[in-house]
Amino acid sequence: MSRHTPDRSDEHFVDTQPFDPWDKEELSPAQEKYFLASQWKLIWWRLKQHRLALISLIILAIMYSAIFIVEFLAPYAQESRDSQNIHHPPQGIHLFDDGSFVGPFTYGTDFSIDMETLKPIYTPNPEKIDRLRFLCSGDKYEFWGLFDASLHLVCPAKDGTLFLLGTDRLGRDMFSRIIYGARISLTIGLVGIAVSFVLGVLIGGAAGYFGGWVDSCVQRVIEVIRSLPEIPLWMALSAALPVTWSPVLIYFGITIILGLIDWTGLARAVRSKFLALREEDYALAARLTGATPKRIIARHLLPNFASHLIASVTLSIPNMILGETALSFLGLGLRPPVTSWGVLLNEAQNINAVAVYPWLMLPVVPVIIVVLAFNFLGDGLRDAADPYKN
Amino acid sequence: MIDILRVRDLEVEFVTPHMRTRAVDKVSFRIGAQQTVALVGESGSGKTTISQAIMGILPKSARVAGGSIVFADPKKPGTRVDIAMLSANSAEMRAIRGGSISMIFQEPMSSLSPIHTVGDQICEAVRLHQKVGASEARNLAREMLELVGFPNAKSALRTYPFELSGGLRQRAMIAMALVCRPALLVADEPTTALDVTIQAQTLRLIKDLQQNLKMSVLLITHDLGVVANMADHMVVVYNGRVVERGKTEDIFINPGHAYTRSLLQAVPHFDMAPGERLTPLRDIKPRTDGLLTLVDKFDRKMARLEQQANAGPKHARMGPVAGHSTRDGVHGGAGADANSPPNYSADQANTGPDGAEPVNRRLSEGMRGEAVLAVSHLSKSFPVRKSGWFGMDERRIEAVSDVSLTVGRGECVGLVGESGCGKTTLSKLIMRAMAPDSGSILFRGESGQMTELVGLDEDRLAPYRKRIQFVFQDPFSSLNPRMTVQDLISEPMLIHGVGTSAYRRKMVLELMEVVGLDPRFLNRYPHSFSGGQRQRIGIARALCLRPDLLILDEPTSALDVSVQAQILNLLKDLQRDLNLTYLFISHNLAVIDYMADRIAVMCAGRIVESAPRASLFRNPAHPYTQALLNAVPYADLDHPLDFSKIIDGKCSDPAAWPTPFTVDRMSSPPMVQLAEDHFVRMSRPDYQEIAV
Repeated sequence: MSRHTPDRSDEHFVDTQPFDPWDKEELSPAQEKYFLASQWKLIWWRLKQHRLALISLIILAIMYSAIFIVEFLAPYAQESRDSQNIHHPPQGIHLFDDGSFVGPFTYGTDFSIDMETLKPIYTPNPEKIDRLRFLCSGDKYEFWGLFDASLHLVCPAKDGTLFLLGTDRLGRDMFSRIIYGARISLTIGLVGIAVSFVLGVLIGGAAGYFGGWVDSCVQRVIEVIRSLPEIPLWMALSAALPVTWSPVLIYFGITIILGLIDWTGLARAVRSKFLALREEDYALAARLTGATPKRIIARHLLPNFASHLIASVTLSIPNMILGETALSFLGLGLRPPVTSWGVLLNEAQNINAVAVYPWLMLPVVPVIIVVLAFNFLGDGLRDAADPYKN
Repeated sequence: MIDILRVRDLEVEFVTPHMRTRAVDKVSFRIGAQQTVALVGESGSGKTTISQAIMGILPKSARVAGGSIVFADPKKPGTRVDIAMLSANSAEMRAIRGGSISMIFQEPMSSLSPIHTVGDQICEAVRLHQKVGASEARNLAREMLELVGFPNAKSALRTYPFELSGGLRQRAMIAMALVCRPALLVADEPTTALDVTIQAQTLRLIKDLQQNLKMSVLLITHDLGVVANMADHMVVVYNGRVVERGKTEDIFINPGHAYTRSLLQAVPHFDMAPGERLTPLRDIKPRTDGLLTLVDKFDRKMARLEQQANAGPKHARMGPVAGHSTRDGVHGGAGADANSPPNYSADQANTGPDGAEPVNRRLSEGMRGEAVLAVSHLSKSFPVRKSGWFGMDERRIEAVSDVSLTVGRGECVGLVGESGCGKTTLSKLIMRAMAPDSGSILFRGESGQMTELVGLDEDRLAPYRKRIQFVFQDPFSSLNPRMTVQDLISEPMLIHGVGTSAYRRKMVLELMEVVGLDPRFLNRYPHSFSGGQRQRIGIARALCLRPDLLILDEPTSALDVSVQAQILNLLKDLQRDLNLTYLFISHNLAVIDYMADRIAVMCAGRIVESAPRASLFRNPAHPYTQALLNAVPYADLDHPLDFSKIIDGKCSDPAAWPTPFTVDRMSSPPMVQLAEDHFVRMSRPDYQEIAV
């Protein structure tokens, strides 16, 4: 080891600044706030930083709050038909006519028929200016089946039309029906997820906590269920629903079918989280203190993966929505007069219809938006779920 | 003399969305050619950030805010590069990193890729920096492996990291770092994760290589023992600032800064006078009087209840316990075959009358020495699935084998051993977190009688779960992050239904003061506490049921030295004030020496030597104990490590111990008494000859 001749680097330097060993323990207000925050607060702070998840959350919040007042939001009632305007293409909303401001309005259309294809042709007529009315009285409806009302956020001009997304083969407004469909399509996922959540947490929790042969059995059952092709299984189960059931009963039957098949993914997530958490020191600490398995699960394990559970639930709601849409599209799920996005898409089964009236495909758009929003939100939640990492 | 590296006024900032923190604040130091400079500091002091800045591997959220890191490569005389100005991914920086400045890390396992052979990984390092062919690179790699002491370098090239032991893995990593013959080696806590014997071997290796390869070493460590043995110069950092810098001997002899002084006084060492205390940086004064009065009140209440119970069904309840006490007697008889640890029957006879007076029983000095826990011939083995499709072909590893141990009331028994020696398994067996294969665990329960814990089911264990408490090694994972401190500390009381909620709240408040925490912290979550504070919460939690026995499993090994001193002092004070009984498990001999009254040395699942503290360190009889003692680096310049005494290879392999001590399939020697209370596992009946 060479020790070279003393130069400046060898001088013995001592810092002269005042030294207080306790100052490290003093907290700034920001730290104080962070330190007093509970787990959920920390998750929320983390989630707020995930831009896409936050936007998705806002979109979903708007959509879900909208399903309470669909009757008010839709310009037409669910079943109101305009036999004069069958397969009417979407109408645009204009603000200016001929350079002068008029306020929101639509142009009325003139009807003619292509005599070769028998396709109805609607040509906008610049003479007919149909000004929109707001908070107006329009089609009568029964609000949640409770009382009669006729107040709408927006209605077409008297004798005018407002087909934002066109009409279907019976002349029903697609936009209104999509709004009505949201009520069924968005909630069917929640009911189904509730079923699969209960099953998943119970079965997965049992498998994870007890391990051994319980775990093996559950794993095998999950593998069998997962290896069944989904669509034929759905078809078989929904064919088993009696045709005589009312649409509402069918709706519940479908959600339970979806839940019965979908719990496997959740059960696996719960099981693996359980296995990981069971080995944590604090779970052992509780066990060594004499805590019962019930207490360990309820007080130590569940709170620690509740956030993970919520994330995986959020990620599996889109599956439910897609499942309902697929079933209804095939004509096996909900049936008219119930309106859901899948039922609406059922109309678009005919390739000819889609080729001539492409707006019949539009119910796909809200499906895509909702599924994406749930996926982004789920991603954000999953990242934020463990606020103590990093 | 040219400096290899000059760091001047270095500032590194971390920018997070919430705040901007200055991790390194105007740090300056220099590293001369072939010098070893130690960067000393606690966790969070910024020492690792400094090393990352030198290597150009700062995390994304950090940036160099000012200052310079000038590197003068001796291989290219006359050139100077300011690393602080280089972009992390530039060709220049990449040439320096791994080529001229190399780094070795703390974790040998995670620093090597598990899917590549050692040879491939070293060759990759060579070929990134030198224009050599594949076969030449392999030659260089083999040469390097020989240099770091691989017994068969050629075949080692083809091994995968998982095939190597921890020590060899560390050597492979050092070989990889040094194969390009760097001018500077940055060693970030190179031995912290290693056992003390392997640490000594690694330190010797680094020292030898430094001379062979004529390189400088920047040693980042918190261990002053390592610093004293390795460094020419040292730089003490605190809170991102250099508080003291100079020659190692200058600083050790005449520490100028209060922080350095307190660091030096916080390390336990073997020459401490009896009763001498460590001086932690932040001392806490536990207030135990409140709790003590509470205990009194509690005991009086218990006594009253017992008297009431005495009137009727008490005798019926005593029935089975009496059965156990005869078994206890049998055990006492078996202890005479020089195989069982010290016998307390005499003490028990003395203290017998005291037992009749339940008031203040747990505080009474007369009860000192009465055995609280007696473990005998405890064994536990785990199956290792070696091969075979259905695990039919099973091998078993003996984690604990034939362990006997007694812990007396008010005593602190230290259990020392290296990682994997079975000490944690033993503690879990005593806690009955798992069931032993054979042997017995006798524990003195509330009735005052020894009860066999082996074979009890969870329901019947419940009263003992209350009396034995456990303090975990890792304060970060042992506290549920979703519970407030209030909930954490009161949980054991809630589980056992102790007291009313008002009593529990009061007890938690008392306990917070006992461990020196501000009662205002009660509603905080564990993430807001430092490691030392969390460990104090863990201790408070363990104390809330006022246990008879506290098992402390490496309670300070995850903590900084100054915090360690604080916790050790706290534990000592609590033991004195509350007459607690400890089973203290540690790998750190100095810590055990500071804490324990009696020490048992454990290796490969067996206790190889057990003796009172003084005699164990004065005349260690077992070769393993000797090897351990020789390998401990002292934070004292007058006691350098004797590298010649350090045995390469496995001193923890029982089959490799010299004859009277050998443990293998042929011989399994029992514990033999050398002197009063001094037992060694050896096979010679004429032990007197070597007993000094």
